[in-house]
Amino acid sequence: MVTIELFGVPRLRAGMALISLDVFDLGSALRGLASACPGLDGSVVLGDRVHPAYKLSLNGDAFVTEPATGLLDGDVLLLLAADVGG
Amino acid sequence: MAGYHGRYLRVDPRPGRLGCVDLDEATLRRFIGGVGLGTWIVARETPAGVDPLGPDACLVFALSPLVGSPLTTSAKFAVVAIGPLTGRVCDALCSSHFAIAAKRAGVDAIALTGAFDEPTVVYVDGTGRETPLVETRAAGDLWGLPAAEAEARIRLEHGTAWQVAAIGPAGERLIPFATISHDGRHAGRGGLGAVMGSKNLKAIAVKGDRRTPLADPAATIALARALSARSLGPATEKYRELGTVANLLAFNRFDALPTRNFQSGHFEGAERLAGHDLGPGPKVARKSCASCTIGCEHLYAVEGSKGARMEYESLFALGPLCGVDDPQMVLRAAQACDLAGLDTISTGGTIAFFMECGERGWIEEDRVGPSGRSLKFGDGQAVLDAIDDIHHRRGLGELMALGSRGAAKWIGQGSAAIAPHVKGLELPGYDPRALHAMALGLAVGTRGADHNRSGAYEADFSGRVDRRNGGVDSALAAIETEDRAALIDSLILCKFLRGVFTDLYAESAELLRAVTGWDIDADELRVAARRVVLARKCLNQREGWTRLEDTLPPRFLSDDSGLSRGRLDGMIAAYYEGRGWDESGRVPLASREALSLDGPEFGAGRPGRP
Repeated sequence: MVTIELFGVPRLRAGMALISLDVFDLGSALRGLASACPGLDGSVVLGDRVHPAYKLSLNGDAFVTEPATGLLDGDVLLLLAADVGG
Repeated sequence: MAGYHGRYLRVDPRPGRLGCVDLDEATLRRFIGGVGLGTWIVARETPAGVDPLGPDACLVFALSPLVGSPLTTSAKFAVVAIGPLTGRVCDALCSSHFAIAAKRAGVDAIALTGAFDEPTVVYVDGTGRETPLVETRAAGDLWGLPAAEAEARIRLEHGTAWQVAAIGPAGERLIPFATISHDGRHAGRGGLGAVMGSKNLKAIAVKGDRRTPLADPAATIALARALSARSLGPATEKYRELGTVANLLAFNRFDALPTRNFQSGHFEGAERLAGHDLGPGPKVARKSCASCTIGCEHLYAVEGSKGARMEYESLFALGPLCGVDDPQMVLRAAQACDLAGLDTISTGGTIAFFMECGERGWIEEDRVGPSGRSLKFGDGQAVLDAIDDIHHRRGLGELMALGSRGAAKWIGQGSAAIAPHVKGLELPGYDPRALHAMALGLAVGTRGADHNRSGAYEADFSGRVDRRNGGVDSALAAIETEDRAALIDSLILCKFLRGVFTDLYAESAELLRAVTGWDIDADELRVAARRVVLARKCLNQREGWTRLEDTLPPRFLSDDSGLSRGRLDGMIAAYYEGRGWDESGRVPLASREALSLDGPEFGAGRPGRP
């Protein structure tokens, strides 16, 4: 299972802090997220990518964008605003 | 001259000193406005080695060519001086109607020098006059009031056309992390409120009807409309919907949320603090600065009041940094700082430092407030009592009022290693161990530990650099974000717009061309941004800066933390090289000459200085 943790506006819109999905790549994870949280579809999640105003961190380390990025069981994606800080 | 009045006003009670000083176009083009122009005026008006709280110190309120234009977020002013907390250049920004009214008074900046014999309010009125009329009146019973109350009283008595910047009791008592406030917002960092207090100046009120022409009104309006439309998009949604408090949980997840005086980057009570739709309490209002389409200010319910403003920096400093997870206590603490006129970051940082000193047994008496409460991590009431003691300079508050660096000198026992400051300015809410580019930005910042003049955390969170293995890339990213910040702070626009620009320099040049008529381009603005950064650096050199100041507290520098002293020093060396400075961080004469900073006001030609 892959977990997506939501921060800021994505969490507000989704009404949940995290979701677990049985997926193997980033694109599938985002499609699954949009399906489970329609409030994110078309605004935060655009198909198999996130809107440029948002970003995804894999396990708090690298930031990932490519839909084909492989995910392993236990991976955690952090979805947050691109404009961090302030 | 489109966009400018071409002069600044010097207000000084000493004979022959009051009056307007011309600003030539070449200077304005080099320094633009805001922090750039303010730095230049401070350098000119302040003798080297000045006592920041002495009569020779200069406090500048600097405007910009964009103030008064229809461009969103342009109603801003910079306050610049040699700061009492650091002894180095200090600039802070504030927003709203004061900026517009000050510019309508017919000047590009107001420089306050000298000191009044008694508590005073200065009135600058440009209405119907070529030269603004300056009047002074005794502050009377305004002295002692919170800034917001003094501001309201002045406007009630003299009319709402006046816009007022004022200090609170902390500024009057010369606390070196006191703020200057307008309409509830603060020029917060570095103790500029104490500089104003040292001049016996409770408030400055401004009004006028003098508008600067726009070189190309149609183009300016078109650009303003486009920028406003973009400012309503997804790039600013975080600020609009949640405000900066949205950072709390994200930073906590990245182990970057400073907790219990930076003993950790993770706070177990973070979710509780963000329990109300990711904010610290039920929202009661959302506000905007004048001329702003973003609307980032969120007010939260506090028992017994109309609500409290809360930003991430206040939330982190008065919450996790002090180990407090009770949202109401944190809101009340922020409100108490606002009323006193205290910088929340330095206040929280200093209190947290004392809490740890108490925990380690380094201070004999750790009691605060009327009930003699022990100052312990997690005790929100103790934080409130400490704030009250600080601004009254009472009991332990007398020592806390020195800030963490000053207090560590008294406490001794190795406490300097855990005093959370750079150059005397307490660290903002970014744990440098988890964000190495930001660690560098904090270390080399001319204002001290600073998240507004260095946005290097953007690089850490961008994926362009390895946030836990800082190196040359981190240094180059830190330079880039400093330059961008210098431009934005000189224009002045709100940094929350940064995400809507695709090419900040080119688009800013387009704005300036429309407003001023200059044939300015992106390359010239890149040079101007570097000049502003360098001007502050040269001014610091003039005031005695040494390489030893560009560092972080020892607590952060260990092999265990991943941020060893060697790693930080390596990044600093790369930063100096990237800036074209020598190995000791000093600015070569050629670099000064290339940017027209080779005059004596920036220290050139002084003994021991290039």
